[in-house]
Amino acid sequence: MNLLLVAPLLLTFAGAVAGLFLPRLVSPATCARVLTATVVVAASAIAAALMLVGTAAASELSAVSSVIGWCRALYPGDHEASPWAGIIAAGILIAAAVRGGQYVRRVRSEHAPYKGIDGIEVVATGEPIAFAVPGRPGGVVIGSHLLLALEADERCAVLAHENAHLRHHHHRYVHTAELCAAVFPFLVPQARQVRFATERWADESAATEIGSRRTVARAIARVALMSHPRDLSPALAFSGRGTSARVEALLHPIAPRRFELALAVSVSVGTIAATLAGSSVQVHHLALFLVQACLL
Amino acid sequence: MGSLEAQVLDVLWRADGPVTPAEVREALDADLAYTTVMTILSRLWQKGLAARTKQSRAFAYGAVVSESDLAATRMRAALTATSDRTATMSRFVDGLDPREAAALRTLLEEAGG
Repeated sequence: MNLLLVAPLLLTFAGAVAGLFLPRLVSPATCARVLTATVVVAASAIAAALMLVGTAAASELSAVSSVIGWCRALYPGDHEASPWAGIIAAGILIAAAVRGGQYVRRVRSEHAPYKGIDGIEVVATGEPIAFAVPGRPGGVVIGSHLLLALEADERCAVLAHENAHLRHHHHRYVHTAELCAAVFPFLVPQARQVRFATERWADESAATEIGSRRTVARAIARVALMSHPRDLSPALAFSGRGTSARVEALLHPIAPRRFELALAVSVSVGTIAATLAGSSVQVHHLALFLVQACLL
Repeated sequence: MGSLEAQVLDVLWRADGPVTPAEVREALDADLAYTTVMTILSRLWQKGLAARTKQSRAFAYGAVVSESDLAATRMRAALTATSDRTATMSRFVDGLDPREAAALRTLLEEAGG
């Protein structure tokens, strides 16, 4: 049982390491998909492990064990969960659920003003802002200052970038990963990698559409330099540093190397498979628990 | 309608001066009805994305180039946007790290800006 609990953590760590070198080896689109899957699997594995600890500890209590004694029967002689571990696990799960709810409410409230947006909308603001609003039909919001300050080809690049976000449903990857990170904060670095991968994906898409990597790179650099350094909150520091990485990647693209690619893919696939296998054992136990609970 | 707006904007932004709906229609890859092009152009004007001038009997449309162009249009007043209220959106650029500014300026020179 201890191994079952440690495995998800080890595998999450392996996933994070894979996420560090994956962006240099595969296309941003593949990177976004693989990293999102990794984050979801890691979050599920941790949640399952916590539930297992919680139920195992509960079964140690004499009052509860008569009801869910099957749990004791499942691990004969190998049952050492303390009630404290169970209380901690339950506490973490409750806190996780609260944080998940907060994230969902935050996404809803930020999107609410743009409900029913269709096509492109200008907002009167000095902030160099441009973003995609997913939905039906969805659209792009551009700040008036940004619109006036850019050259024609740079405006086209901004629009092509934001349209790529909408066309490829990037919000699904970003929101899924960020929800997992809100629930389990140690996944925050991986969620940032997912967001960065979708930005790179949209950059590449825009470069293909307007036929110039250089123009997209110039647009990103100019818009970034328009924003006051003070505008950057500490929480955004990573994405801010990601800006020059995006420009760099557009100006000096590197071709994926085959050996490292194969290694990265096998590590990622292995991580996901092993974590799935590990958590499925726990989910199996969880299913038994739910069956018992329903029978009460 | 959204992607058509982007295509029409592309034409306006790349044109040298104001263009008529007929000229926009000709420049587009897609084969659109004249009235469709008219509708899109007038929507773009209402949103503040295009400026328009009366040329003989019809309007000619051009890219907005000044604050007064924008002021002449009817932007959706209800819409506002600030960087701290859009953190969960996919934004073009997320802000600027002071340590990154110098690197970006060098890269900008390289990109021909």
